[in-house]
Amino acid sequence: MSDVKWANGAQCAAMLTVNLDAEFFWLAVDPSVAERPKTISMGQYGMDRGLPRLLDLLDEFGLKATFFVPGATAHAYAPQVNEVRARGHEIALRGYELLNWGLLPAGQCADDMRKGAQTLKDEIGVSPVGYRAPIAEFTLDTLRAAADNGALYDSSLSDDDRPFWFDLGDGRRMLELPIHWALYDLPYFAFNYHPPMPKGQGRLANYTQVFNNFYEEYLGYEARGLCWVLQLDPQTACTPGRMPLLRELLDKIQSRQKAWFATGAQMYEYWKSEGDTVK
Amino acid sequence: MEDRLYWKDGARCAVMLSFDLDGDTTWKNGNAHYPGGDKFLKAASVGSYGPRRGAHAILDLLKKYDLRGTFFVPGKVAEDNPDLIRRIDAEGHEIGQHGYTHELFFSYTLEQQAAIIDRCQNIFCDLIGKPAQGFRTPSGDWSRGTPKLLFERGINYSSSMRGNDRPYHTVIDGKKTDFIEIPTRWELDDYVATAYNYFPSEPDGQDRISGYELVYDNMSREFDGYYEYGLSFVTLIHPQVTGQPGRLRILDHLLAHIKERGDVWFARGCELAAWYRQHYDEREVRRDV
Repeated sequence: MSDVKWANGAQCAAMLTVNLDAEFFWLAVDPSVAERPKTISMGQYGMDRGLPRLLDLLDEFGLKATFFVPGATAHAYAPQVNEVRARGHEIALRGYELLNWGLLPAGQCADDMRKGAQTLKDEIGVSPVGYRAPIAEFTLDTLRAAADNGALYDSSLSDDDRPFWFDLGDGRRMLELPIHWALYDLPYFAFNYHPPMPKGQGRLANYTQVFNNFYEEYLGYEARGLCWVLQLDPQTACTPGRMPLLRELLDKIQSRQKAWFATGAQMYEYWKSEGDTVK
Repeated sequence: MEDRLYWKDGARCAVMLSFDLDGDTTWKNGNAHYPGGDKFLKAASVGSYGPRRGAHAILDLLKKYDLRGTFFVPGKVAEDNPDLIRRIDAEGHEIGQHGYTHELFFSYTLEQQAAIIDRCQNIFCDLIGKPAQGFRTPSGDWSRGTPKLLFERGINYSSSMRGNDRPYHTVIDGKKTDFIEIPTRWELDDYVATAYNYFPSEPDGQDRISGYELVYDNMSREFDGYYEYGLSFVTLIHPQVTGQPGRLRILDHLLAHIKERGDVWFARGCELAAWYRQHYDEREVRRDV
């Protein structure tokens, strides 16, 4: 059994998180995508077709999710992102563009983070308390820049399967809400020929087996009392054929009545107020 | 809830069975990257299976189900296989443009693109006595200016984009036009799932051929979703891939599954585009309610 005491006497925690990367995911893969309307359209699909389905599904289950929103998305799709907020979900920081901060200067990252936070404030009227780095690499400077812009928690690392305090090495710390590749739909489903995605141009995974992976992981997290964090991107997760499997997944988890569903901000508040006694 | 589109005869959803009859063009394009590649025989033969065997098997299957499809055919493949093109046309299927040798339009100037489009229209007029109405961009992206070129040349719809699961009016010069886009998706593409070659490698990272049962599982789940939401389900099938006997059974099972539903409108691209143009205005709002 778990060494963590969860809110409401729950046996485990479950967090639904969404990366609203839209076409900025593809622009980060290769800048030439700016002139490739077909490749861009895959990201647009997420905002125009996938997101409304996801919001309806979350309403159906009465669940709140945490949406990590790049400033570029908030700028290009302000009405859609405002709708996310209006329906009670948490909006969190993801910088402005989705660059590989592991390979770029800290100063550029700091500027991007400021611009991302400012855009969320201007377009959506929110001051986020959470951050998730883009899909590639990042450094301590990235997390410090996120903290400089109001982030109290991060959800980008894989060290653990429970929240933990991460030392920023400058007298500050952030709560880390760990993620794992197995629980992210995009790497299973994203596909393109030019630029190639995945890089080795692997096949699309089988739908039934992917959602089975998610559920098997959930059962493992539940059995050991841990914090299951699902990452979805509506451009891949919310096709007509995948929606029923997502619904089935949420239904199976919710009907077990073992998990405390929390947003990132709720998890932060809980962990902070309970201090280290939760462990 | 999503608004449900209005389809012919009140059908719940539309199905466009579309086929990319690429033949050996893509393989020859790939071979061209190697010195002496124009003499390679093996990879091109994988593609030639399409027009030689696969397409006929698919046409027989469509006949069995009494269904009409849309074949996007590179001009060169049409020139090389005139009897097949005449058979496709004679059996009521539509033929659309797909480049001359499956060119990556993105890498050509607009003048070069226009020349390819004109050349292909002439080939189709010579072979079947009529120009194509539809276009599917070969090999990835087109340029921002391509839709205008096509529309000016009498092509009135495309099935090239990935950003939707229902038709829409394409923006040209900042305005929505009657050039209709009928998008399709990688998850409905058999090439993504099962095309394979060792050298030159396809796919690039040489992932293994997917299990057929799992491919059927994905595609039938997508169809069920399109049916549920009332969308346009657009297959992207390559006769060289799915025309092989075991894979034809995937398509056979899929068609049986779709037909079982009953209230599905099977439409060729030109019919789907005309329907959408007639019933939905430039704001994508239904005209006749």
